[in-house]
Amino acid sequence: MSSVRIHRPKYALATMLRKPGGTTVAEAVERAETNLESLQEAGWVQLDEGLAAMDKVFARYGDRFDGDLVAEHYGLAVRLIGLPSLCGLDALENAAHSLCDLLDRLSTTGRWDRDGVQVHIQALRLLRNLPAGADAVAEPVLDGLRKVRERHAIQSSN
Amino acid sequence: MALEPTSRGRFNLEKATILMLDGNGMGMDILVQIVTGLGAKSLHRCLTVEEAKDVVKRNTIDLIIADALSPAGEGYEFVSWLRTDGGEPNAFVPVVVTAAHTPVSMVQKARDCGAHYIVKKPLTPVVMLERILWIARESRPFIECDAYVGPDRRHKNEGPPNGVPRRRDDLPPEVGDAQEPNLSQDQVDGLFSTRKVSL
Repeated sequence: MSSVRIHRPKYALATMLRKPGGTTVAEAVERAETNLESLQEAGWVQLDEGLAAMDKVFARYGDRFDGDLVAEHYGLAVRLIGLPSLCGLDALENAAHSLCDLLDRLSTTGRWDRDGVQVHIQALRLLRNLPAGADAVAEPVLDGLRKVRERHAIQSSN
Repeated sequence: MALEPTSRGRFNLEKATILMLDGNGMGMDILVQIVTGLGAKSLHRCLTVEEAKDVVKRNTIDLIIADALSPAGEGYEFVSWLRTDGGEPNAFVPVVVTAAHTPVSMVQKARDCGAHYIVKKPLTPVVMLERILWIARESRPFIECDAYVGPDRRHKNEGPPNGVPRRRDDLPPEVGDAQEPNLSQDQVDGLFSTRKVSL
């Protein structure tokens, strides 16, 4: 049997965090959130570029499973994660996660579901253009995506 | 317990040296805005694993926040390298891995890379701060063996997993009625006050 060494390293970080001065949690969180607002404009641009790139990938899909194209699409979908939240679009964030889940599952099983992917692409477009606070519209859209995931027995973490 | 965003509790990240690894420019920008907002001043920004390795070799780091990077999980491999070849003290440094999405094929790699926490994107300031404070506070044991190097992965006691029956000697989950009166405040205070004892 191989040997196991168990020890408790001392983290310099723990000592630093307790040093006098610093800031309160409330101040720090507020400052960080204000900082993030400065990225929103760039976030919108990248979001729209990402959606446009995914439209182009979708246009290249055929009727049969194409592993390389699904992988390319997955890469684009993953890069979208985080941008919708930055822009205050939580429903779109949820839909982007759903698309990642679906593409990962398709890639793993080799099964093709063009309709399921198309529903996601359309949902992303719809949710991108929803006015703030339109949760009543977003909810049935997200419910539809959940049903697509259920068809593939995907247990999303969302 | 979740960190309350309106807490007046104080902390100090000003002296911490933080390495951040993210190949996506916007991902890096988001991370920088969060950690500078939390008060960090000494940052190493790395866009590639090679840059991050170079920084680790030349500097003492207090915290690493590394993205999983590509779907192939290069970020996880960086953390594995850090644990085995990063050299002391950096090999033991707290690591938070961020991931936009973890493909099914990467779950085991993510679990076994040796990170303290894996935080799912989108990142928020309060979640990042919460994880940083948890790592510093919990001081998890560090395990070094052939198959794994990193903080103990068994750090939560969440009871038996779903579908696994309780052990014969486990206490029942139901809590019955109290059999004795509650302690008075004086009795509770007495449990915490320092007493002089003669040995």
